[in-house]
Amino acid sequence: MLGLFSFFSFFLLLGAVGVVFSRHTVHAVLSLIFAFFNAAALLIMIGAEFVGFMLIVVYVGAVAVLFLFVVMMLDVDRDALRSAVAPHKKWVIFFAAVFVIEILALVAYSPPHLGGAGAMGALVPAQGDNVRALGMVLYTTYAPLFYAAGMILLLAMIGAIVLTLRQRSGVRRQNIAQQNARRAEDTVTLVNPPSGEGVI
Amino acid sequence: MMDVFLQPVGIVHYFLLSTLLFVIGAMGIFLNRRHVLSMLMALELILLAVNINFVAFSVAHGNVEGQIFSFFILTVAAAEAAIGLAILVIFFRRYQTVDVAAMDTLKG
Repeated sequence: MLGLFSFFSFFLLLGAVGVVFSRHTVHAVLSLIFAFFNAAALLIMIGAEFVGFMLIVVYVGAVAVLFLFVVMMLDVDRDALRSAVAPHKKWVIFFAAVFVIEILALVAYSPPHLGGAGAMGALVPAQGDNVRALGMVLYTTYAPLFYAAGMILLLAMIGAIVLTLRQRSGVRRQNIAQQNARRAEDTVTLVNPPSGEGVI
Repeated sequence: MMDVFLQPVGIVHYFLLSTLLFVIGAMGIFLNRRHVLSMLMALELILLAVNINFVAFSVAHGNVEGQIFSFFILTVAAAEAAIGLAILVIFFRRYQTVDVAAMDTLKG
Protein backbone atom coordinates (compact mmCIF):
# COMPACT_ATOMS: atom_id res chain seq x y z
CA MET A 1 0.00 0.00 0.00
CA LEU A 2 2.78 2.37 0.91
CA GLY A 3 4.42 1.59 -2.43
CA LEU A 4 1.27 2.59 -4.30
CA PHE A 5 0.91 5.67 -2.13
CA SER A 6 4.52 6.69 -2.81
CA PHE A 7 4.05 6.16 -6.53
CA PHE A 8 0.96 8.33 -6.80
CA SER A 9 2.14 11.00 -4.39
CA PHE A 10 5.49 11.28 -6.20
CA PHE A 11 3.70 11.99 -9.47
CA LEU A 12 1.24 14.31 -7.73
CA LEU A 13 4.07 16.42 -6.36
CA LEU A 14 5.82 16.24 -9.73
CA GLY A 15 2.69 17.61 -11.38
CA ALA A 16 2.43 20.35 -8.76
CA VAL A 17 6.05 21.37 -9.36
CA GLY A 18 5.28 21.38 -13.07
CA VAL A 19 2.35 23.75 -12.50
CA VAL A 20 4.54 26.19 -10.61
CA PHE A 21 7.78 26.06 -12.56
CA SER A 22 7.00 25.18 -16.17
CA ARG A 23 7.83 27.76 -18.82
CA HIS A 24 4.76 27.33 -20.96
CA THR A 25 1.35 28.09 -19.49
CA VAL A 26 -0.12 25.23 -21.53
CA HIS A 27 2.38 22.85 -19.94
CA ALA A 28 1.35 24.19 -16.54
CA VAL A 29 -2.30 23.40 -17.24
CA LEU A 30 -1.42 19.90 -18.45
CA SER A 31 0.65 19.37 -15.29
CA LEU A 32 -2.38 20.48 -13.28
CA ILE A 33 -4.49 17.82 -15.01
CA PHE A 34 -1.80 15.21 -14.31
CA ALA A 35 -1.69 16.23 -10.64
CA PHE A 36 -5.47 15.95 -10.35
CA PHE A 37 -5.48 12.44 -11.81
CA ASN A 38 -2.90 11.33 -9.26
CA ALA A 39 -4.80 13.01 -6.42
CA ALA A 40 -7.94 11.19 -7.53
CA ALA A 41 -6.04 7.90 -7.45
CA LEU A 42 -4.85 8.67 -3.93
CA LEU A 43 -8.39 9.37 -2.77
CA ILE A 44 -9.75 6.22 -4.41
CA MET A 45 -7.00 4.27 -2.64
CA ILE A 46 -8.43 5.08 0.79
CA GLY A 47 -12.00 4.34 -0.20
CA ALA A 48 -13.28 7.82 -1.02
CA GLU A 49 -14.20 6.84 -4.57
CA PHE A 50 -16.89 9.41 -5.11
CA VAL A 51 -14.70 12.38 -4.20
CA GLY A 52 -11.94 10.93 -6.35
CA PHE A 53 -14.11 10.57 -9.43
CA MET A 54 -15.66 13.97 -8.72
CA LEU A 55 -12.17 15.45 -8.76
CA ILE A 56 -11.62 14.02 -12.24
CA VAL A 57 -15.03 15.07 -13.53
CA VAL A 58 -15.09 18.57 -12.06
CA TYR A 59 -11.44 19.57 -12.19
CA VAL A 60 -10.16 17.77 -15.26
CA GLY A 61 -13.45 17.91 -17.13
CA ALA A 62 -14.46 21.46 -16.35
CA VAL A 63 -11.94 23.65 -14.54
CA ALA A 64 -8.78 22.54 -16.34
CA VAL A 65 -10.49 22.75 -19.72
CA LEU A 66 -11.65 26.25 -18.79
CA PHE A 67 -8.06 27.16 -17.94
CA LEU A 68 -6.90 25.67 -21.23
CA PHE A 69 -9.45 27.73 -23.17
CA VAL A 70 -8.36 30.92 -21.43
CA VAL A 71 -4.68 30.14 -21.96
CA MET A 72 -5.27 29.63 -25.66
CA MET A 73 -7.42 32.79 -25.86
CA LEU A 74 -4.88 35.06 -24.21
CA ASP A 75 -1.47 35.26 -25.80
CA VAL A 76 0.71 35.83 -22.76
CA ASP A 77 4.47 35.80 -22.56
CA ARG A 78 5.11 34.07 -19.26
CA ASP A 79 8.87 34.67 -19.11
CA ALA A 80 8.40 38.42 -19.41
CA LEU A 81 6.18 38.30 -16.34
CA ARG A 82 8.45 35.96 -14.43
CA SER A 83 11.80 37.73 -14.58
CA ALA A 84 10.72 40.59 -12.34
CA VAL A 85 10.12 38.41 -9.28
CA ALA A 86 13.51 36.67 -9.18
CA PRO A 87 14.83 38.74 -6.23
CA HIS A 88 12.06 37.33 -4.00
CA LYS A 89 12.99 33.75 -4.79
CA LYS A 90 15.24 32.99 -1.84
CA TRP A 91 12.71 34.40 0.62
CA VAL A 92 9.96 32.28 -0.88
CA ILE A 93 12.07 29.14 -0.53
CA PHE A 94 13.09 30.15 3.01
CA PHE A 95 9.51 30.60 4.22
CA ALA A 96 8.37 27.41 2.47
CA ALA A 97 11.16 25.48 4.23
CA VAL A 98 10.18 27.03 7.56
CA PHE A 99 6.57 25.99 7.06
CA VAL A 100 7.49 22.41 6.15
CA ILE A 101 9.85 22.10 9.14
CA GLU A 102 7.14 23.42 11.44
CA ILE A 103 4.65 20.85 10.18
CA LEU A 104 7.24 18.07 10.49
CA ALA A 105 7.96 19.12 14.08
CA LEU A 106 4.23 19.21 14.77
CA VAL A 107 3.81 15.67 13.45
CA ALA A 108 6.92 14.37 15.20
CA TYR A 109 6.26 15.83 18.65
CA SER A 110 2.50 15.77 19.07
CA PRO A 111 1.13 12.91 21.17
CA PRO A 112 -0.44 9.91 19.41
CA HIS A 113 -4.00 10.71 20.43
CA LEU A 114 -3.71 14.06 18.63
CA GLY A 115 -2.59 12.37 15.43
CA GLY A 116 1.14 12.53 16.03
CA ALA A 117 3.85 10.23 14.78
CA GLY A 118 2.60 7.48 17.07
CA ALA A 119 -0.75 7.41 15.35
CA MET A 120 0.42 5.26 12.46
CA GLY A 121 -2.83 3.33 12.33
CA ALA A 122 -3.73 2.31 8.83
CA LEU A 123 -6.40 4.19 6.94
CA VAL A 124 -9.02 1.53 6.44
CA PRO A 125 -11.64 2.18 3.78
CA ALA A 126 -15.11 2.05 5.25
CA GLN A 127 -17.10 -1.06 4.49
CA GLY A 128 -20.03 -0.72 2.15
CA ASP A 129 -21.01 1.71 -0.53
CA ASN A 130 -19.21 5.05 -0.36
CA VAL A 131 -21.72 6.77 -2.65
CA ARG A 132 -24.68 5.52 -0.61
CA ALA A 133 -23.08 6.64 2.65
CA LEU A 134 -22.45 10.09 1.19
CA GLY A 135 -25.93 10.40 -0.22
CA MET A 136 -27.53 9.45 3.08
CA VAL A 137 -25.83 12.42 4.69
CA LEU A 138 -25.74 14.91 1.82
CA TYR A 139 -29.44 14.74 0.97
CA THR A 140 -30.69 14.79 4.55
CA THR A 141 -28.56 16.71 7.02
CA TYR A 142 -26.86 18.88 4.44
CA ALA A 143 -29.76 19.38 2.02
CA PRO A 144 -29.94 23.18 2.60
CA LEU A 145 -26.21 23.50 1.94
CA PHE A 146 -26.63 21.33 -1.14
CA TYR A 147 -29.19 23.81 -2.50
CA ALA A 148 -26.86 26.66 -1.56
CA ALA A 149 -24.06 25.00 -3.54
CA GLY A 150 -26.37 24.82 -6.54
CA MET A 151 -27.19 28.51 -6.16
CA ILE A 152 -23.48 29.33 -5.98
CA LEU A 153 -22.87 27.52 -9.26
CA LEU A 154 -25.83 29.28 -10.88
CA LEU A 155 -24.53 32.61 -9.63
CA ALA A 156 -21.07 31.83 -11.00
CA MET A 157 -22.55 30.93 -14.38
CA ILE A 158 -24.65 34.10 -14.59
CA GLY A 159 -21.74 36.19 -13.33
CA ALA A 160 -19.30 34.79 -15.88
CA ILE A 161 -21.77 35.36 -18.72
CA VAL A 162 -22.59 38.92 -17.62
CA LEU A 163 -18.91 39.77 -17.20
CA THR A 164 -17.76 38.51 -20.57
CA LEU A 165 -20.78 39.50 -22.67
CA ARG A 166 -19.98 42.64 -24.61
CA GLN A 167 -21.98 44.86 -26.92
CA ARG A 168 -19.65 45.78 -29.70
CA SER A 169 -20.40 49.08 -31.38
CA GLY A 170 -20.54 49.15 -35.14
CA VAL A 171 -21.94 45.66 -35.52
CA ARG A 172 -24.96 45.50 -37.86
CA ARG A 173 -27.65 43.29 -36.42
CA GLN A 174 -30.94 42.20 -37.88
CA ASN A 175 -33.83 44.24 -36.46
CA ILE A 176 -36.99 42.44 -37.50
CA ALA A 177 -39.43 45.15 -36.33
CA GLN A 178 -37.54 47.75 -38.32
CA GLN A 179 -37.52 45.49 -41.33
CA ASN A 180 -41.26 44.94 -41.16
CA ALA A 181 -41.96 48.63 -40.65
CA ARG A 182 -40.27 49.59 -43.92
CA ARG A 183 -42.64 50.21 -46.80
CA ALA A 184 -41.77 49.98 -50.46
CA GLU A 185 -43.25 53.42 -51.20
CA ASP A 186 -40.91 55.05 -48.63
CA THR A 187 -37.69 53.59 -49.94
CA VAL A 188 -38.06 52.53 -53.56
CA THR A 189 -38.15 55.10 -56.36
CA LEU A 190 -39.17 53.90 -59.77
CA VAL A 191 -37.73 55.88 -62.66
CA ASN A 192 -38.08 55.56 -66.35
CA PRO A 193 -35.07 57.33 -67.89
CA PRO A 194 -35.13 58.20 -71.54
CA SER A 195 -32.77 56.23 -73.70
CA GLY A 196 -29.19 57.60 -73.77
CA GLU A 197 -29.54 59.98 -70.73
CA GLY A 198 -29.53 57.83 -67.61
CA VAL A 199 -30.41 58.82 -64.06
CA ILE A 200 -28.57 61.61 -62.25
CA MET B 1 13.09 -4.98 1.51
CA MET B 2 9.74 -5.28 -0.20
CA ASP B 3 8.01 -5.14 3.18
CA VAL B 4 8.37 -1.36 3.24
CA PHE B 5 6.13 -1.03 0.22
CA LEU B 6 3.49 -3.28 1.73
CA GLN B 7 3.18 -1.22 4.91
CA PRO B 8 -0.29 0.23 5.47
CA VAL B 9 -0.83 3.90 4.71
CA GLY B 10 -1.54 6.10 7.71
CA ILE B 11 -3.03 9.51 8.24
CA VAL B 12 0.50 10.90 8.69
CA HIS B 13 1.41 10.12 5.11
CA TYR B 14 -1.59 11.94 3.74
CA PHE B 15 -0.98 14.83 6.12
CA LEU B 16 2.63 15.22 4.97
CA LEU B 17 1.64 14.91 1.32
CA SER B 18 -1.00 17.60 1.62
CA THR B 19 1.46 19.84 3.49
CA LEU B 20 3.99 19.52 0.69
CA LEU B 21 1.29 20.17 -1.91
CA PHE B 22 0.11 23.22 0.00
CA VAL B 23 3.64 24.60 0.23
CA ILE B 24 4.26 24.06 -3.48
CA GLY B 25 1.01 25.87 -4.24
CA ALA B 26 1.87 28.75 -1.92
CA MET B 27 5.31 29.01 -3.52
CA GLY B 28 3.59 29.13 -6.88
CA ILE B 29 1.51 32.10 -5.79
CA PHE B 30 4.58 34.01 -4.67
CA LEU B 31 6.91 33.00 -7.51
CA ASN B 32 4.40 33.81 -10.26
CA ARG B 33 3.30 36.99 -8.57
CA ARG B 34 2.72 38.86 -11.81
CA HIS B 35 0.89 36.21 -13.80
CA VAL B 36 -2.74 35.95 -12.70
CA LEU B 37 -3.37 32.68 -14.53
CA SER B 38 -0.48 30.93 -12.78
CA MET B 39 -1.65 32.31 -9.46
CA LEU B 40 -5.11 30.87 -10.06
CA MET B 41 -3.62 27.47 -10.90
CA ALA B 42 -1.48 27.53 -7.76
CA LEU B 43 -4.65 28.37 -5.84
CA GLU B 44 -6.27 25.25 -7.27
CA LEU B 45 -3.30 23.24 -5.98
CA ILE B 46 -3.79 24.69 -2.50
CA LEU B 47 -7.49 23.80 -2.57
CA LEU B 48 -6.56 20.30 -3.71
CA ALA B 49 -4.24 19.96 -0.71
CA VAL B 50 -7.05 21.04 1.60
CA ASN B 51 -9.40 18.54 -0.05
CA ILE B 52 -6.93 15.67 0.39
CA ASN B 53 -6.58 16.58 4.05
CA PHE B 54 -10.34 16.66 4.58
CA VAL B 55 -10.90 13.30 2.88
CA ALA B 56 -7.98 11.58 4.64
CA PHE B 57 -9.17 12.71 8.07
CA SER B 58 -12.74 11.78 7.13
CA VAL B 59 -11.62 8.22 6.38
CA ALA B 60 -9.46 8.10 9.49
CA HIS B 61 -12.36 9.07 11.73
CA GLY B 62 -14.93 6.98 9.86
CA ASN B 63 -17.09 10.04 9.36
CA VAL B 64 -18.27 10.95 5.85
CA GLU B 65 -18.92 14.59 6.71
CA GLY B 66 -15.34 15.48 5.79
CA GLN B 67 -16.01 14.23 2.28
CA ILE B 68 -19.24 16.26 2.19
CA PHE B 69 -17.24 19.34 3.10
CA SER B 70 -14.75 18.61 0.36
CA PHE B 71 -17.67 18.67 -2.11
CA PHE B 72 -18.52 22.17 -1.02
CA ILE B 73 -14.89 23.18 -1.38
CA LEU B 74 -14.99 21.70 -4.88
CA THR B 75 -18.14 23.69 -5.70
CA VAL B 76 -16.72 26.96 -4.47
CA ALA B 77 -13.41 26.28 -6.26
CA ALA B 78 -15.24 25.71 -9.54
CA ALA B 79 -17.28 28.91 -9.09
CA GLU B 80 -14.15 30.84 -8.17
CA ALA B 81 -12.28 29.55 -11.22
CA ALA B 82 -15.16 30.51 -13.53
CA ILE B 83 -15.52 34.03 -12.12
CA GLY B 84 -11.76 34.54 -11.86
CA LEU B 85 -11.19 33.53 -15.46
CA ALA B 86 -14.07 35.73 -16.64
CA ILE B 87 -12.53 38.71 -14.83
CA LEU B 88 -9.16 37.77 -16.34
CA VAL B 89 -10.63 37.72 -19.85
CA ILE B 90 -12.19 41.17 -19.55
CA PHE B 91 -9.01 42.48 -17.90
CA PHE B 92 -6.93 41.17 -20.79
CA ARG B 93 -9.37 42.65 -23.30
CA ARG B 94 -8.93 46.08 -21.75
CA TYR B 95 -5.21 46.16 -20.88
CA GLN B 96 -3.72 43.51 -23.24
CA THR B 97 -1.81 41.92 -20.32
CA VAL B 98 -2.39 39.67 -17.31
CA ASP B 99 0.27 41.40 -15.21
CA VAL B 100 -0.91 41.87 -11.63
CA ALA B 101 1.18 45.04 -11.45
CA ALA B 102 -1.11 46.57 -14.10
CA MET B 103 -4.09 46.24 -11.75
CA ASP B 104 -3.36 49.46 -9.90
CA THR B 105 -6.49 51.47 -10.61
CA LEU B 106 -7.56 51.50 -6.97
CA LYS B 107 -4.13 52.52 -5.73
CA GLY B 108 -4.92 56.18 -6.33
